[in-house]
Amino acid sequence: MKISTNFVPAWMTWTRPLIAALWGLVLLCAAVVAWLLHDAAGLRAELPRLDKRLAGVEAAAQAASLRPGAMPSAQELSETRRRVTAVNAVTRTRGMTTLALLAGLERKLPAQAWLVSLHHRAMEGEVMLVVAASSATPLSEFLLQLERDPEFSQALLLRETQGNGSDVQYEIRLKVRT
Amino acid sequence: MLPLLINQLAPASPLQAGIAVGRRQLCAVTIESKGSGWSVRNIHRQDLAVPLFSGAPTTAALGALDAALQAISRELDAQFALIHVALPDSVIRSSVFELDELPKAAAQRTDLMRWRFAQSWQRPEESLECRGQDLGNADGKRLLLAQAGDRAWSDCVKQALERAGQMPASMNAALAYRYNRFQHQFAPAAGAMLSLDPDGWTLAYWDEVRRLRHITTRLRAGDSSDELGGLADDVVRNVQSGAIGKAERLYLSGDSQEMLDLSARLEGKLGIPVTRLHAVDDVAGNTAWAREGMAPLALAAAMSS
Repeated sequence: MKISTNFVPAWMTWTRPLIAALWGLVLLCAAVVAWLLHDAAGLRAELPRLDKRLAGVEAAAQAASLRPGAMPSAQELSETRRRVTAVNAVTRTRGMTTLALLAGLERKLPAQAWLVSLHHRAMEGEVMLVVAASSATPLSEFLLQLERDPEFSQALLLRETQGNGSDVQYEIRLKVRT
Repeated sequence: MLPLLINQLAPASPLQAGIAVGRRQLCAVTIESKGSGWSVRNIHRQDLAVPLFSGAPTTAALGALDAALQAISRELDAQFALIHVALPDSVIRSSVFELDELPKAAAQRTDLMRWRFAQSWQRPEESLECRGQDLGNADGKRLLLAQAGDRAWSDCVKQALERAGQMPASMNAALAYRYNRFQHQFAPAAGAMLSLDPDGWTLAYWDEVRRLRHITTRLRAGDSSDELGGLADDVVRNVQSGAIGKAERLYLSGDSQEMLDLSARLEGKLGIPVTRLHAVDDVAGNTAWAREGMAPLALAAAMSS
């Protein structure tokens, strides 16, 4: 048993741990400084190579530099930009082209069915088509494929009619996914 | 792991100083670590022109304490030693309370100690500064080592130390330093230690597990022709009283010559072995002055940590 009472603040109880912590901090800082010095030495070693590369790039830029007179004037650039914008506005369409649509339908259409009519409104992204077959089975199969096609957000059977003879016709409306 | 790391990064101070503040004398001993032991570096003794610890602190007493501390501080300042300050056992009184239950909160424990010491001394509670240490259970009771210092005088010493530029690591009663210094020499049995100081004596009794159980402190009657004889009789009465219990050995600590004189008297009267403990044992260096007056106490304080 040791008598551990004390009539003055026991600063010794925390002083030594504090000193040890400060030493730890100093060692940590020393390690960081050593690492930074090592990193700086690495960068310094790389400096001549980077200088050389920079000189090469500057030389290449000098060689390839454009003369001021070869550049189009600001007015010409502005006119060109305006014309490009106008052409883009004229030719802009949304969704797939009719050619791509027909190619897709050809792949999906069963052998026993055929396309009677196609109305493609590209701006609205809407396709109206009439397909015919000798029975309803291939047409239902075709409609099912259209419904599953991720390119279309909607495949809706508008009307089923009896065509010439025993032919069956499906009038279908498709919405192209934007 | 953590203590080992702390020891590596912040090793304990190789220099320790003990300052024993007596009523009429102040003694400072500095020791330095030499390998696995200690060596006395220097000893300073300063007689006080005005006695301390009598009544309330006076300006004259403060001046005398300041002068003595300033005188020893010049050398302490240059040494960066860890300082331990020992006050007389009559200024910081120690007692062992046997309680049914130990108050859980430290503040409650302090209040209890303050109240009991105030009752015992008939002093206002606010004039006492108390410290306690739980000693564990014994005979169905909870033991509390309680200490109470005279706040006016302990503040006075602290302020004087501060004015002298000293920041002590510890301040305690002489008994605490002596007990810590010598405890490894105590036999594993019930025993008692008589501490002799120029101003007073203290008898501390411990049980078979070397746990303090009873402490008696008396001022010395220095004007008696056979003062040591009277002291020996007083000690014998205390040791043989039922309150103390049965000590199998009595240890003496203090001034070498007084211990020599008393050991023969006490051994004959008590019928138990009496062992003299010297703070300078196992200490190298110039220990000639470390055996008398307040020096043994100052040395014990320096070596107690």
